[in-house]
Amino acid sequence: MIDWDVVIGLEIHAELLTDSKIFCGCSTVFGGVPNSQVCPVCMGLPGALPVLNSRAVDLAIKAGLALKCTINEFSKFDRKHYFYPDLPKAYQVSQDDLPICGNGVVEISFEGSPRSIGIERVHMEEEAGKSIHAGESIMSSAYSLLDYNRAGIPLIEIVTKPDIRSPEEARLFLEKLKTLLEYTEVSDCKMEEGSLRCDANISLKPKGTDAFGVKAEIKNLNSFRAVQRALEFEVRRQKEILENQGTIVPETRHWDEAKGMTFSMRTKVDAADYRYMPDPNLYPVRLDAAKIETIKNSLPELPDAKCKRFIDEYGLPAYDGEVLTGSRALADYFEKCVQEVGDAKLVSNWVMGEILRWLNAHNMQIEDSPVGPADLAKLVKLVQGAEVSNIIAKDVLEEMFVSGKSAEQIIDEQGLRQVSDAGELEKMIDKVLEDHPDPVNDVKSGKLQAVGFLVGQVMKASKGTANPKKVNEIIRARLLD
Amino acid sequence: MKQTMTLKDIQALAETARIELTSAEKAVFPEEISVIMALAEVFDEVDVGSVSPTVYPLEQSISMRADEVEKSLPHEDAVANGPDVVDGYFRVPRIIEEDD
Repeated sequence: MIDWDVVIGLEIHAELLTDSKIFCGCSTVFGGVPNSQVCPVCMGLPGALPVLNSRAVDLAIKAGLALKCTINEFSKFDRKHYFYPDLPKAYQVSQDDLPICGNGVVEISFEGSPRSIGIERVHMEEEAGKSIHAGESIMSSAYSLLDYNRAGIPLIEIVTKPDIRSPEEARLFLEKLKTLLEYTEVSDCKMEEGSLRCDANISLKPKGTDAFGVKAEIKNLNSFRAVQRALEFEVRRQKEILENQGTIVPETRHWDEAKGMTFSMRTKVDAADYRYMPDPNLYPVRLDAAKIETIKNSLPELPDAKCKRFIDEYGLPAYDGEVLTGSRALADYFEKCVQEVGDAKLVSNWVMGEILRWLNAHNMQIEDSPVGPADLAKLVKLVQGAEVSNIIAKDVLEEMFVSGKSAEQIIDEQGLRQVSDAGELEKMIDKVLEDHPDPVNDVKSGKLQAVGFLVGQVMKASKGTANPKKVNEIIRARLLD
Repeated sequence: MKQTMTLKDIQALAETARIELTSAEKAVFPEEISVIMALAEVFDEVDVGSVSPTVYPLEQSISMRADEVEKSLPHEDAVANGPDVVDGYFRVPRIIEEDD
């Protein structure tokens, strides 16, 4: 049996967060009435001339800087020709041999070790229109419906070097890339709306050899999970062919999410000759170093730097740092809460535990959390001040999510304030000790585990409001001194 | 190093450009295009090793606009010339080629 090296390269398209399209003033808002955000330029009507959106250029530079690319002071637009109904001009304005950014790197952490994934290039281009295929899938549709609202939305295409070595690493890379594009507000990266899309190239080669094998390109990857699953399927498929002395055909394959398989997809685009040529309607883009420097200075703190700061400044474990800097909004939420509470690890536990658990269960993002950082801070401070027990505080938080009430209000309304008053606790403890003579004798004879049982009974009797630390102290004092 | 176009090359070119050729055209094009290619091959004799490629013949740089939304075409006008409009979409034949 031969061992194989998996070689994966990704091509990612990200829509840039501009208000208007790349070469005309039509709106980029998602979900409008079909063919209502169109004009002669983006519909490719004869004689219409493109004018470049300066913000699209700024965002492409920003993305390049976040991916540690070289920003090319000279780049140009080319026409990429192919015939497809979503492309009204029968060419796409793109960048061929002189893209705006080249040669970058994204650092990821894979199974605890740092890995560098090279970025070959980042170039600007225009979106195609959207085709909606009738019937169950593109493979079986009788006809397609075309909406050109999307045609001309500015895109960057990010091409990685073939540095990715496993399907899981591909997913981790994409998660990191998405974080970077979101931090820099280059793209909103909504895969469900198609503003972030990924195609994957994959081939196998015998372990330790240099020459790359024949690759397949996989399309229709609609989530990061789909990318990983499709690549895992493809590794198995290619292995089986190669190990049975077969040959891999260079082709485009379509991922079928429901079947969990890739299928050969013979489109008219296959084996295309794109006949790139400089677009005579668009002069070259010349950038000066000062402009690039200005954009560089406007970059926010990026996730790696933020993670390092969280570890150094707040003394958080590396894992907490990575999770909390997974999105800028989450990191901001955490920091706002820490400002109020002080104890960073305590806040980290609440945010990574209860807050993210509830949001994930309700399929919500931190930005939409009904419980804001100030609300959480108030609750955590009540726990810190022993006003409410940790366990009850979790129930209170649940109630805060549902009702929108403040922690104080819920605690007062439901009488959940923690009982720390010795006199009140003594009364409850008397009753429990009286009702459970056997564990009491166990403790007296040195079986200290039974203390836990007795504390539990007091907690139960107080419906969780007794201060467990105090109860423990009193019971020990009573039975052991 | 003279390149000669075969009938197969011509057919591939025609397919790429979506041009339908008559059999008379198919008969003459291999030779005619070979002649044109031979003319172009004259450039191969020039040593351009030390010359940087001309990307654009003019000095101008691209002019840009601010990112501002302008009025689009009214929807009715946008689809007015469509031969087959359904629910505001342009309807086109299936995109995937049949297996043959």
